[in-house]
Amino acid sequence: MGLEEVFKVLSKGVMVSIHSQKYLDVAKFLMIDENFDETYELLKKIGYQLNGENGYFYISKLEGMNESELNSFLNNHKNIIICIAILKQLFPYLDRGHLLSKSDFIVKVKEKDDEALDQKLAYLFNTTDAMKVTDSFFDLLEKSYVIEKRSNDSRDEHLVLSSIEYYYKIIESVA
Amino acid sequence: MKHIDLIKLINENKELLDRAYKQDIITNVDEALLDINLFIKIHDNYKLNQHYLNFVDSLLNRIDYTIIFGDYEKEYKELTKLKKRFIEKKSEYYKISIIKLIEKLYIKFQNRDREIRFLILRLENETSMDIDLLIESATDTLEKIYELIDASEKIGQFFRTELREIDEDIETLLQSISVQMLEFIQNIDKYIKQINHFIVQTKNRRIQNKRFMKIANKIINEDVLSFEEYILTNHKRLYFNFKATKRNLIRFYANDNDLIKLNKNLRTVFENFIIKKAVKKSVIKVQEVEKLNIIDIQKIKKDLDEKRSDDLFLFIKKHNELEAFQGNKLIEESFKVYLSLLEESNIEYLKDFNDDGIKVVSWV
Repeated sequence: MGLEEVFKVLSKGVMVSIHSQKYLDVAKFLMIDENFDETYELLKKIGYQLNGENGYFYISKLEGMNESELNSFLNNHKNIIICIAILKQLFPYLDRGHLLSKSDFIVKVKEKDDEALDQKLAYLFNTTDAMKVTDSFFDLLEKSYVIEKRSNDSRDEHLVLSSIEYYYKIIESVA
Repeated sequence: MKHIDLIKLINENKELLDRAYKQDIITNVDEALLDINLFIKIHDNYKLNQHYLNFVDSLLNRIDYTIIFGDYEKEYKELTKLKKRFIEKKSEYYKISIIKLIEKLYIKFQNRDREIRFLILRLENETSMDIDLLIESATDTLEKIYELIDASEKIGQFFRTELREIDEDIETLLQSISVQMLEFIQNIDKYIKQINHFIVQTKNRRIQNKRFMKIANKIINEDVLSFEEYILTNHKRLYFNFKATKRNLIRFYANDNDLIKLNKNLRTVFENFIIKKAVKKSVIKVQEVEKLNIIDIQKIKKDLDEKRSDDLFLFIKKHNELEAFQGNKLIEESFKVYLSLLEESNIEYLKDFNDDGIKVVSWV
């Protein structure tokens, strides 16, 4: 793993968590101070900032955004915060390292039978079909690097990544 | 009934006992099990005796939040009474009773320590209980453990002072358990800190969950002004997802061939440029003069000619030309001078070696 490969991953907007199976090499590379500094300098030259926080790495944009970037930037944050709020309602002890499964998720949603919860899911997805909602929910969290499907496991298991703490920080600052 | 018969009876009824332990409804039980009080009839059903449940739960480390630790007051009173009688009558019976009671208390301390440890472990790994109920259970447990501090210390103190030196066997037993007893008592403080930490963490988690819910509800209700304001003000350090925009998407990366081509093109562009070589302004650093301790050998020679010496090395060592040196450095420098003077014709080697281990040479 070298700077080029790390740059390829980060420039695609990946939020790299230290216990991600998929991006373990990238995380290991960035955990070395010299590598982090070198990548930081490189990204700074093209207008981005490399951030390394409590167990995760990501890129932020130093320059202003155009309208479409701005909308997507805001919506992305809003959607993920609603997703985590739903997860916290269903699994109050959820944190990084927690294992989630789609089957547990469906069972919990049914058990709760909560109108406010349905409202949140309806806000995120244009369907009421439980399977579709669940698939879309997990897909959104996976694409945002908050959870990761266990690659060597045939069971329906998703690992909650360290990057969830990024949203904890936002919530603490806003609420 | 003998103990071995009881084990056999339990074994013969293991399926039934297991069902009852798992809270299954039991309506029919063998008479022998009722005779030994293993089952108790409540209304139309049969329930396992609480003593059996406690025993099994304890062995399987299944500690219930409703556990009552209790104090050691009864044992303490009994022990005080036995001690008094033993001192008065010196009877073997009281001595054995005291030893049995000490052992019983020790086992009680050990079990309690184990129960608290597993209770904390259960609290920390709890994921099915409502978070408010968990905080309440942890707070209750904390109160129960606080009550144990004084009770445990009272027994510890009694073992350390009151029961000492009344009998050799009692003394031996107390000594053998003293370190472990102290550890059990000190562990209580450790457990209190652990539960306090757990309660704080769980309360923080509850606050965090509520905050997520609050912000999510605001987003749904489009009351997002403060949220958006925060995100936009901090955009320079907040996660930016490239996928959302095509403008910034990096489509490919230069390979080696591309880089060779680029270098070639750059050379063509830059080869006509005349670059003036910058005149290097060198700063000449002034050599610092090293301060040296120079020994005037000629002066030493002159003094030697005047005064003579039976031990050249000793003479050099004491000479004021070497007064700047001390310890090993003095020996080292004296030896250098000594060596340089050995070439002279007016020296005479003697057989002896001086205190510094140097061959004695006289200057004649």
